[in-house]
Amino acid sequence: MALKGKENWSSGLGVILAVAGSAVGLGNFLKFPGQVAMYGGASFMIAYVISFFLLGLPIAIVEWTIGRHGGSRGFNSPPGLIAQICPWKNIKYAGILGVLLTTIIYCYYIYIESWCLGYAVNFAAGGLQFNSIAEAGDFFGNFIGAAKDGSALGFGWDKVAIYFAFSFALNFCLIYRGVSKGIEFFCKYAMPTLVLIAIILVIRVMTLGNVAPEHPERSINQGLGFMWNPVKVVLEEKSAGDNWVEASRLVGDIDTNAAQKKVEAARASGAANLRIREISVFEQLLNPSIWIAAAGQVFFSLTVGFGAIMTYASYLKKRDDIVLSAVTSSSANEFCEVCLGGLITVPAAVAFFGVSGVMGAGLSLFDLGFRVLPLFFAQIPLGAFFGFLFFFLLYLAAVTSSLSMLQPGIAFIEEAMNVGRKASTLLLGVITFFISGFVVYFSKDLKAMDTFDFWMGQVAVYVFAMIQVCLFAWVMGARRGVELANYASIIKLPKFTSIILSCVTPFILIAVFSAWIAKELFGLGVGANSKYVSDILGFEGGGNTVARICMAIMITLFLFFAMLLAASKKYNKLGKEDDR
Amino acid sequence: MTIGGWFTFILATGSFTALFAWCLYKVFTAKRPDKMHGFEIDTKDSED
Repeated sequence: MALKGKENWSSGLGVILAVAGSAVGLGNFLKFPGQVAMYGGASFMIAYVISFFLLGLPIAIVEWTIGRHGGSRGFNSPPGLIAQICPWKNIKYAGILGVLLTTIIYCYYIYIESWCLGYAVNFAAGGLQFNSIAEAGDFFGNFIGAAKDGSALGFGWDKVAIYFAFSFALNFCLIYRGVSKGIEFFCKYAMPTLVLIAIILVIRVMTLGNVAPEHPERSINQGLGFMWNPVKVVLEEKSAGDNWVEASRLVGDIDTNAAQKKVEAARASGAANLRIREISVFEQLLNPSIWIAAAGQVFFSLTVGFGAIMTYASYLKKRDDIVLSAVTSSSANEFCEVCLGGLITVPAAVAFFGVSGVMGAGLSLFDLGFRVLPLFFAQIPLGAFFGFLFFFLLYLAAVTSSLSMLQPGIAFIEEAMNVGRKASTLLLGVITFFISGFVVYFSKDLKAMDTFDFWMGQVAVYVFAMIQVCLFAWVMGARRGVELANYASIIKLPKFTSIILSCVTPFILIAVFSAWIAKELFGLGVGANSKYVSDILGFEGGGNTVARICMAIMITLFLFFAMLLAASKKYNKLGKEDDR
Repeated sequence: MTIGGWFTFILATGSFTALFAWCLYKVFTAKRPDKMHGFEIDTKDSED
């Protein structure tokens, strides 16, 4: 296979920063802290660390190894890379999933990316002055056009369209410049800047002091306790069905003493319907939800299973290290998530609004990021500056991630159509412009984004990760895979890695996916059909036109990519090569 | 935050910081091995 003109990373550090940039995203700063707080510090971290070593890191190594191996044979996109580890002739079609899901994820991620830029610009201009969560929520709804389809499209500083156009152009400019001059160049500056900004914000949050003297229970210490205290203390209330349900979380003496008084008052009035209960770490770990949440957080945070890492690794040289690079980029993501992300959002929010205020506003990614924190920044001294810094940090994290979602598509079009970067950038630009334009237009309740995220950002990612891991461990063989990974690597994987890869990781992945799909797709334990299935199939009158168009777009794009693959001379040669 | 909370917090952040710092140390100081261990991979491009 001729490799003339093949692109390469200019340095080992460059590819590490690019992969770390791909992994570090909004979830590190907004989702992880919410999950730790919701499930309890020590128990969640035990499940999280186990998932990191048995699921996240092994899949990262699988992707790096597949990438460098396939890259040395002249391929850069998931269909060609997957075909290099498996002798089955048509396995290349499974690789299309990696191209499809990254392309679709880009199309809605760019929308979220533009929110971050919009908030950064509006904070810098001093345009965000909120006095309540409701005000912050109203601005967010108007900004993204959540009330009505098409309402996000107007031009103005307080509309998302202008930021969307800028972000879209920036991504394609960088991707057009190529792997080294575009992606590596940007990540080399963006990642250190991102870490520096995060450290400044951590210092600002940790030195906040008592922001509301009339509420001594609202403090940074309280916020840290909410996240990290190992034993969960809850006030429970007896429901109509005679079951005890959690009424509120209690953190610190002030909360607990107030709850104790409530319980005693209830007992004195003859109603024993309140109690305070301590939930130990062991008891928390018996809840399967915590394991699914921790595994999902590690998996999606590291961006493993998407096909982006293998595409990046395919631009390595044959004798470049991959094991140390995989561990370094993964640990960089964990550092940003646990040590930086874990110290900004939830402690800041609790210091200002208290545990009950934050629980009431919601701990989800969007609630924390675009309702609670903008209000927090609007209220603190120099809030406009720190608000700008926070959303600029999120923007940098988002751009480095969205770039990695474009590269598999670019590489695939170049290979399948035998065209240069200009033509592939143009074609992918047209495709993603129309699909992301569709997402921005159908902004009511974020229906289009939500549908794409469910089917591509979650279901397809799990499926593609399982394909990669099973082929690597069981078809090519985990032992050979570990030997391939260790080849020319600065640090070596221990021999037991092959046992983990063949006997542990695939089964954990299958178990987590099965549990997730049972709940999310079939409504097991929830007692209702999944809204995503109902939207498509119309169960109980729940059909939704936007969701159905989204499904049609995904199927059409898959067929288009399959057609390109079938017509490609380069890929057709694959079936004739007998040795893998 | 309770003592258990501080312990969890320091252990979690300390472990990941130490892992990241060790990786950076290895990246910046490691020398390429003179001899490659393992085996030579049969790749098509080696013929070029």
